[in-house]
Amino acid sequence: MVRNKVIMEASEINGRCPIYEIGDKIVIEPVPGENVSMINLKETKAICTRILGTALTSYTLFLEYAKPSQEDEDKLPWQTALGPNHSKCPMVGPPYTECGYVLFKVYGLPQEEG
Amino acid sequence: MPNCKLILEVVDVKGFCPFYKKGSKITFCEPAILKEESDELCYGALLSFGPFYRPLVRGVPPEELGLGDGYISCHSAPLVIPEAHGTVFFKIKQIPVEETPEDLWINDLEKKGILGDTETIKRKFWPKNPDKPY
Repeated sequence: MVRNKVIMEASEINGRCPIYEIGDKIVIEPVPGENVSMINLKETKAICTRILGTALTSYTLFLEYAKPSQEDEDKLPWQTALGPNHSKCPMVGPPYTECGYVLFKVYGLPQEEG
Repeated sequence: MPNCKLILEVVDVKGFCPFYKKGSKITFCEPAILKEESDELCYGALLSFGPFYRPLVRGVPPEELGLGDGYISCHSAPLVIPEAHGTVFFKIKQIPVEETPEDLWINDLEKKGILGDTETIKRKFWPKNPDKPY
């Protein structure tokens, strides 16, 4: 069964973010042979506590189980959700908040389960 | 710090949002959302706000949380992204309250003589198999 590695990649930063730079990633990986997934701490730059809520909305589990289809006519609308989708952290950005917002590109990479 | 009723009021919608318009409100009072005092509840917006809920409802000022004068937005991408539909901006208002619904519940337990140490509560409430849903 194919499950997907899910990647949240900082694609744009509006203002100042003390944690992320463009290109930084949060990587969520299926645990081989199990039906759970975890954050890959080696490939993840950092996990800002303020992104935790948004990360839940970012199709993480959905993208993990989304099945890509090779044939366009077989594709359902949600299958295009392998990505990328975009979500931002809830900071408003200058001049209203000191920290700016980070826009994350969220996408799935199919992996063979071992 | 006093417990607070928390109101998220929509101050602007950049783009299109199927639920919220300027002036829409979501009202929290620990431990819940007050349905009578709230308009639509967008799951994504609520989750984005999630990490800030507890400190704000317990009276931590937004400035200390890095939210400036109390502004927060939803998770939706800004309009520079082709699939984006719009971002909603909320103003956070804290209203100190004497008693939250949770306080009322605790007081009620006290009046009934149920509140006490953990063992007392266990004797009153704990089922035989507390780990099983049925």
